Formats: sequence, structure tokens, C-alpha cells
Amino acid sequence: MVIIPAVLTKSIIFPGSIIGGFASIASMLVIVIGVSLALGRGFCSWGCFYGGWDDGASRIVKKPKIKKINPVFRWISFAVLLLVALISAASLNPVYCDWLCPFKTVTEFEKVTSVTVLMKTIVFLTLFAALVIILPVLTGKRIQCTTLCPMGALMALTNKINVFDVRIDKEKCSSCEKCIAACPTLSLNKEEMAAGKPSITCMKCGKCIDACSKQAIHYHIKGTPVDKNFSWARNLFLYPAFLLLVIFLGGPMQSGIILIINLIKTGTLIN
Amino acid sequence: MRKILSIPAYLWAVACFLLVPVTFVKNDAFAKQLATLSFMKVHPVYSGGEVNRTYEKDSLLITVNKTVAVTLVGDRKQMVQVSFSKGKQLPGMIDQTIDYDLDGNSDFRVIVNTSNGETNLTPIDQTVKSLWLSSRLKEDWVIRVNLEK
Ligand code: SF4
Ligand code: SF4
Repeated sequence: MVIIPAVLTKSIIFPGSIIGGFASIASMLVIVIGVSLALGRGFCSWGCFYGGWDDGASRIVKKPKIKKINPVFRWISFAVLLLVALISAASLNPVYCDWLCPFKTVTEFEKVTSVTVLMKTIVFLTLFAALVIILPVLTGKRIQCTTLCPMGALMALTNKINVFDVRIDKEKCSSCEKCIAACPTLSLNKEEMAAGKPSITCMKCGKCIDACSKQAIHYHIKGTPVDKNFSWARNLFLYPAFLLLVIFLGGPMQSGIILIINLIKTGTLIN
Repeated sequence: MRKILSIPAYLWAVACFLLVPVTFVKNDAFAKQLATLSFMKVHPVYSGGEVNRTYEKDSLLITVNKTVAVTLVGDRKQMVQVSFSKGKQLPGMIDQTIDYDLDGNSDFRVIVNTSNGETNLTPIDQTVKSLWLSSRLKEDWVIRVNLEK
């Protein structure tokens, strides 16, 4: 989202500060690079507070109503990433943030003062209701993360520089397909099972690993044997993953708890 | 051979454990390094562009920025940012004519009610099209005007 516009315009197309202040662009890029190196797309399941909404909604119903979803939908987010990058560069406007981000619904959006702002607001609310709440509840899948989020698509590409992945031991696999059903991102299907690894959309959440009664699917360190030292790979992945969870989300969670206590004590969210 | 190849992979995996805290603890230092890269500047459509001229009139400090092209290709559609400041206290009304291209002729007149933000733009030069934005920015009042050359 940043790279294509930056290459074309030699500048960042985003209303923010490069350095200093809250969430500066340079700080965010350092986090994206650091987390891509450490966990790759594991960020989406272990660090992304927006993904948490999608994940939460996808866990509400134990037996989802819609069971079959065409895995081709997982590629839409890559098309969104490409389109958003190109249109942002051409229009000098951060199109995704301005027009598409469903999470504007739970963060901030402009006061409705014109038809354009009203249209944007309708888009934000509709996408949030459909992709973050209704469809995840009906399917048990992270539909927003899988089909729309360009950040997730970007992390799937930068995941190449990360050392952890998920592998399937075909010797042990009984082809029960429990892992396919469990995967919230449509990253596993018969072809991927045959190839012994999920597609690049895998966010290393570990749900398939928990679902497999044969222990045929596991975390793996690229460049090491696929059939050995599972617990090493598991621990070496899970420690940094939990560390990211604590460091990145500990602060916002603490602030959230303080806000709730304030609300109970004073009846207002304002300090 | 396979075992030897595994060693850097395991070392890299162990390094990831350190990489997570380092990313956050050293974030400021890394971000400062990153900010020195040539493309790490906010596009002038968002920063408002470089200052062209600053002058005082009616005890207001008026800053007129250079025009900025608002599309990637071509420079027909542009905008100009003008800001008004007066120490800590802005006047209730700002009523100024602005010569944005410094050709000695006024290009537009702007009247701003700073208490409610109501802004009226009257184009004088034919390149001036409409008001894009009018807003308080800390202690200044900033307007952006759409131009078409
Ligand atoms: S393949 Fe497994 S680890 Fe990857 S996203 Fe699907 S369930 Fe999670
Ligand atoms: S859950 Fe385990 S055994 Fe079943 S298909 Fe998946 S990897 Fe194979």
C-alpha cells in the first residue's frame, strides 16, 4: 500500500507524520518490517487488533451455517492490495483508509457533512456488518481478513522473509480434513494437503494443529527436516508470538481496562 | 549436510525471539534511520507544500505555500495552501485577498468566521476554482483552494 505509491511519487501518500507523535509512519514501517521478519503473516493472528474482531465473531457460533466456501475468495485481498496501491498512487489519496476500511466503524470516521461523507460512512458500516460480523458468524471464518484486508495480503507476501511455516506430514495424515474445516482463512484444501503445506494466506494461527488428532500438521522452521523436532519449532514460534501479543496489545488492553473502570466509577469514558 | 543447513535456520528462529522486543524497544532509533531515506517524506498534498511567501497584513501573519499538483500525472489540477496566524488568538473574522502566484494581482478573496468555520471564497483569477478545506490547525487557520491551470 505504501511501496507502489512511494515508488511512483517518491513520497508517502498518507496524512500523518514521518517521525514523532502518535503512530508515525516510520515507526509503523519499522513494526511491519520487524514483525514480518519475526513472525511473517503470523502478525494477523497474534498481533492484529482488527483481526481480533473478525476472529471473535468467527468463534461465536460453534456449528457454522455456511460450510462450503470456494477457496478462490482468499485471493481477493491480493487484488484489493494491488488496486488500492495503484488507485492511491494515481489519485494521491489513501483510498483504502478513505473509502473502504471497515474498522472505521470502531475507531473514527468523519462527521457527516456531505453526501460524499455519508456514502463513505455507509460503506464502512456495511463492510463492517457484512465482513466482520455477519459472514464470520455464519461461516466460522475470518472473512474480512481473508477476502478484503490489503494489510493481510501484504503480510502474506512479506512472509517470504520469515523462517516459520506450517507443514503437513503426509505419512501421518489420514485425510480426515478436520484441518480444512478448522482453517479460518481458507488456506487449506485438497491441493495444499497434497503439497504438504497451506497456501501463502496461512496466518499461523494454529487452529489446524489443534484440530488434527493425528498430529500430522505442525509448525516448522524453513530449512529444517519436516518430520522432526516439532516441539522445537512450536516453541520457537510461540514464544515470539506471545511476546508480540503482550508487547503490542498489552498497552491498548491496559488502557481499555482503565477506561471501563472509569466508566463504571464515573459514568463517563472521559478522564 | 542437512543437519549443517538446519543450524542457521534454528539460529534465525532463535533470533526472532529477540527481534520482537528489539523492534519495539529500539523503534524510535530505527524509525529515525528509516526517516532519512529519500522517499520518506509526506506528499505535499498532505503536508501542504513548501512555503512560497510569508507576510504581515492587518496584524495577521499570512503564509502562502507553493502550488501543489493534486494528481500523479500532469499538473493541470493543483491546490494552494494559505495559513493565517496571530499569536495565540485568531481574530473572529478573517477577510483577505490573496495573490497566490505572486504576480502582483489578487487571485481570490476569502472570508472566514473562525468561531464557526464558515468560509466564503470569491475567485478573482480564473485559475481559482473552489474551496477544498478550511480548518483550524493548532493556533493557525488554514485554507486550501483548488486551482485549475
Ligand atoms: S493453515 Fe492452519 S495455521 Fe494457517 S491459517 Fe489455516 S488454520 Fe491457521
Ligand atoms: S486434520 Fe490432520 S489428519 Fe486430518 S486431514 Fe488435516 S493433517 Fe490430515
